[in-house]
This record gives sequence, C-alpha cells and structure tokens, in this order.
Amino acid sequence: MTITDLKVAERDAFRATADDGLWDLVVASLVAMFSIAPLLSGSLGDFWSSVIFLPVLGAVYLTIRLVRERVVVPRVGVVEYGPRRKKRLRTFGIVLMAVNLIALALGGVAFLTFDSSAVDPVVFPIVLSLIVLAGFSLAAWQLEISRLFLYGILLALGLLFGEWLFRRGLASHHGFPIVFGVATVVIAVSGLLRFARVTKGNRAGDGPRTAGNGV
Amino acid sequence: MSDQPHNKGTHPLSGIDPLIHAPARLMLLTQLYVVEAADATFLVNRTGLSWGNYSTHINKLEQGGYVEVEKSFRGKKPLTMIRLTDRGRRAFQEYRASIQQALSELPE
Repeated sequence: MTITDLKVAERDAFRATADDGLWDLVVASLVAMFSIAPLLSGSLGDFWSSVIFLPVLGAVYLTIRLVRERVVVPRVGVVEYGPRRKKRLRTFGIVLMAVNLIALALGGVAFLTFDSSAVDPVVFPIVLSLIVLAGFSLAAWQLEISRLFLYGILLALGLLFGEWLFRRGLASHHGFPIVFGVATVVIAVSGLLRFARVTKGNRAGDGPRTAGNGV
Repeated sequence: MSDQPHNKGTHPLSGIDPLIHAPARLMLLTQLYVVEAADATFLVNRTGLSWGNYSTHINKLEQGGYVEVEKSFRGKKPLTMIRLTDRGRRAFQEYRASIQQALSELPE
C-alpha cells in the first residue's frame, strides 16, 4: 500500500472487518431453502414448505451474529467506517430493498393476473436468472466484493442448466434441488474458507485495549 | 554552489512533519485517515506493529494532538477507539501533498 492508494486502503479496511465469510453462510442458507423447499412442497404445500424455513433462517442469522461478536470482532477489531463507505452501504440497502419490493410486486401481479400457459416456460428461468444476476452484481459492485458476482453467475447459469435437465427428464422441480444444492455447497465452502482465513490471519485483541494506559 | 544542500525552508522535504514521517506513525495515520475511527486490534492487525510499538506511537500522536482516544463499552467489554482529530487530518493532508511534491521534483 502506498500513501497515494487511499481508496485501496479504505476498501481493504472495509473488507478486513466486513468480509469475514459469515454472510456467505447466510446466502448459502437462503439458497439451500430453494433447494429443499420444492422437495417438501408435495407433502406440505407451496406455502408451508417455504414458511417452515423461516425459523431455521432466523436461527442461522442469530448464530452468525453471535459468532461474529465472539470470534470475528476480537480478532479483526472494531471500525467506524468513513462517510463515503457509510453512504455506499446506505445506498446499497435502499436499492436492495427497492429491488426486492419491485420483484415482489411484479411476482404478485404476475401470479394473480398472468396466464402462465400462454408463455413459453423457458421465459421464467431466463427472467429469474437475470434478476438473480442483477442482484448479485449490484451487491458485488456496491460492496466491492467480486466473488458475489461469481455467485450470481453460478446461480444464474444453474437456473438455466436446471431447466435444461428438467426438460430432458433428468431432474425434478425444474432442477432446483440439484442446482441450488450444488450452489449451496459452493457458497458455504467459499464462506467457510474465507472465515478460516480471517480467523487464522488476525491476532486476537489481547493487547493495549486492557493494558496500563488503555490505548 | 549548486551542489550545496538547500537552506532550511527551501528544500521540498524541509516542511515534512517529523511526527508523521516515521513509518509506524504514517501507517497508523493512513489507516485512521480512511476510516472514521478504529480500535487497537484493527490498527495492530492492519499495520503489523507489535502492541508495544503501537502504544508508543499512538501516545506520541495523541500528545501531538493528531489523534484522540475515546473509551467506552461494547456490551460489557471495554473498548478504546482511536480517531483522527481535525488537526491530524489536516496535517496528514499537508504531509501527503508535501511528499508528493518532493517526489515529483526529484530528477528522473
């Protein structure tokens, strides 16, 4: 790092504290839901096969927050980000929420009014792929974490590949259990590797925070 | 007399702030410049300094008025955050401009 690379220094500072691999595990658990829910829909129905995952996702989120507080923070430290980063994170949160709301609204309208039999079924996986790719690309760009873009490509191509398998009778449920199952494993392993690197590469904070002058 | 050293005040490096110029303090200030505030663990990890070195240099920067130390609690654990003061931020900007100018004036 040179003194003129302040943007790089700021990005590295952000990554050092925020990119600990734990959010990858949250994403992996969400993707896992799409892998398992179709298999349960036969016995539980579409609604309950999704709702049943909410407590699981809640437990995953709480566990990850606990691990972050107990394991990651003592090793990487605490940082208040600068105004540029705060603004970037705020913008990302607002845009992500807007995209989710728009997708939800469009999905609701389509579900209620659209005659799906009039449209070639291949349109749905293509549209879904584009939405997933757009969401992950946005996250990769705003958070400056390039592997999120790779996750987006993995999921987008996986959706198309799953549909291809389904049409050839090689997979059930539009290939969701296979492609999202594989994506879950890839994302979870990537997150765990990142987490291991972060926890191994940083010294736990046992120094001046509690030493004589308190500095 | 062109081979004589510059008089004090005329050489581009004469205005360099010695409090910032030490590599350890420069690393600390660079980290603090790009964030709002950070704790000791973060700064030690990012700079690679030993805890002893870290304390020494942060104390010097605090005595120079370049950083301020805020003590609080995160949950039940004590937390000490280090923040660049306005004076420290200005000094770092001036240092950066001075060193860039000095380097740009060096012959190829």
